[in-house]
Amino acid sequence: MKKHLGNIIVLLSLTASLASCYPDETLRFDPNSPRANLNLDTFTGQFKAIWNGINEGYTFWPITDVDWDKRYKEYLPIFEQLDKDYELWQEDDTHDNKDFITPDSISNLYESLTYGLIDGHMTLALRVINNSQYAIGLMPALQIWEDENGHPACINAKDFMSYTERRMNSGMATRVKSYIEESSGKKNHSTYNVCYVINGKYLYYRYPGFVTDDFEENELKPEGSQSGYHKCLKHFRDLLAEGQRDHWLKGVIIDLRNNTGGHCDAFPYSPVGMLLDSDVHNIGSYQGKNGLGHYDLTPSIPFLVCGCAEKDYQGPVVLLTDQNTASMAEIAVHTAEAMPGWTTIGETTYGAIGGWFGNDYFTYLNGEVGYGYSTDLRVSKEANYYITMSHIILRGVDGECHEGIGIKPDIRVNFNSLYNLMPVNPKDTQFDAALRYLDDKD
Amino acid sequence: MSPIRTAIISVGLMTVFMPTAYGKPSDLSAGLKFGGSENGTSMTSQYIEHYNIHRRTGFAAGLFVQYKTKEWLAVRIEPEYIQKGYKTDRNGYIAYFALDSYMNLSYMYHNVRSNYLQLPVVIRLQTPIQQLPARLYCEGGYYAGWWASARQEGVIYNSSIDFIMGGRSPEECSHYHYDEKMPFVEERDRRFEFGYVLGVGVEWDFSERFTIGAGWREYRALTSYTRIYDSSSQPYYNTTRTLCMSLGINF
Repeated sequence: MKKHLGNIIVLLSLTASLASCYPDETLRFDPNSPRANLNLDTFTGQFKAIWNGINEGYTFWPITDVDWDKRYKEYLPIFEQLDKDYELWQEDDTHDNKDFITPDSISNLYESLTYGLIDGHMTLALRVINNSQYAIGLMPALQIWEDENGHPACINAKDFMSYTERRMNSGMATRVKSYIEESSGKKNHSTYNVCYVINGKYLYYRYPGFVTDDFEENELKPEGSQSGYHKCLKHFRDLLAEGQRDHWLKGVIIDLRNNTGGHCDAFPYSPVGMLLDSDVHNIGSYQGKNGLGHYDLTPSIPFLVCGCAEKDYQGPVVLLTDQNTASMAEIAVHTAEAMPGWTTIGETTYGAIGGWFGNDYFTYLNGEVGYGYSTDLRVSKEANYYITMSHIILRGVDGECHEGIGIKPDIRVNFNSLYNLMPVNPKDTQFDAALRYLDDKD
Repeated sequence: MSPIRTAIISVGLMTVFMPTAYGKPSDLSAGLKFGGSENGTSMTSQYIEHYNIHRRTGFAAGLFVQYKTKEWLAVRIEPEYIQKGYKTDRNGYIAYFALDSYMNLSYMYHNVRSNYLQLPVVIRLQTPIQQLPARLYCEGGYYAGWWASARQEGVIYNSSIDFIMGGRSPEECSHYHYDEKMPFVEERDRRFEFGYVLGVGVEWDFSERFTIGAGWREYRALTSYTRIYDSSSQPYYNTTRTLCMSLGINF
């Protein structure tokens, strides 16, 4: 037995010595402070940095089926080849193919690299050859105006003005207040705010985007110096208060078609925020990242919004949506899902919800992953790439994440280009559906 | 050598040598044990600033059955419940460019408590000195563990409301406290754990039938509690220490 005792002790100490030092954890590459061995002046170095930044900063890995490692293997040789070619071409200035490396060709490469990543806010800025700098939108552009047959696919920003005119002429719209930005005589239709009363009983606001404009500060300004945007919002708030006080208000329509979002802090004083009181309203939940791995997510945190009213508006509210309703406007749609008596009418929204709070705010447990990218090219001369990504997975009260899918309206009404194009008495089918809905409720 | 390979080789060697510890059964005892545990993870904070990972304490309890083959040699099997996990927190400030200010991180923490069911098999060498009132022992063996469940608790920054409301100073940020069951992520988490255990302790027969003891042990995992699901994921290992009292009956 004594000889076996020796064996046992040897065995145990052997195991102990084998395992006492775990393999060293591989140090990840910090996207914020590029290491010397990663030459960012080369296409390959830049590619590696960007691949790695997305690998650790992208939030939607658990609901994406993109094989990111495979993409690395596929694209690394392409970028390595680019470097080789570029070197050759630099030696031989007369080479025609030098023009092949253009911002467009690099953009295409990165667009195909990130193809399939759902994130409506993902953008990439690069500084490459000749120190030229350009931005790459990695998602298809918003504002899809035409379908494949060249017909308008959804309501155009320009349509809203003519609709207002027609409704005024027919006596349907009264007490109209509008605002549009003009520069050198040209109207910017995507800033057209308009607020009016319909048929003496409904309140309508066309809200083109969540633009921050300190409402309370503007209130303090003398009458004439307030912005037109502010006056529109104030008109809405006054009518809302008056309608409730005098009991003529039977419903509110907020037109978020063509609203591609904007700033979060515009929300409380937006027409949507004016229907909510200043207490917090839970409109869903979100998860951020709390580690560098693909599946490292925080627990679900309530997603809260608040308004600026004294109390929540109790009547029916309709939000009009279309395929260009995106970002903050989709957060408004999530609000509608959570609020009793609110309805959405129109088309499925774009599906670029975010949220994107700006990189500076990425302060979850792992914090600095996103924050580093705010080394904006405009700010830092050393940085030569800049990625923005959504920081959170936002889920509505239904528990679903609609990023890349869009939020379905409660009542689906398609944009009808035939009606819309009629030279005489064109119709806004989605608006009409909202009126019918409110008439039924009344 | 990869921990998995180490584990396989160790099991093989164990199979060869274990029977040698059995002589004719001369003494059988059984009992229960309870005490405290302390666990650490091999996870590091990588490049994350102001991010600290700490060991965490917990509770351990179990049953044991012991065969004494010689006065100085025994084999023990101990089904047990043991708490593992780790604590993380943040300290310091990070730059908060938008407000040209700094954000305080020091309220943030994230604690994980993992509940494990384990089955260690150990060989115990003990001093057979009859004259002394107490016996000293040292022990070593292997264990298999099952990560049954986990809880996560902590405080995090609720960014939604701050940005919706706008203009709030970093000091006023909303703190969201959570204390909930941690979802098991099939792709990332591994329930099975295998490792080796070493320990020392003291035992006292306070009557003919009853034995009381106290022992210290260290469990070192040879398998990672996370899976390697892509080129950047890393293995993380648990290291657990326990200090347990035991109460045994000699049959």
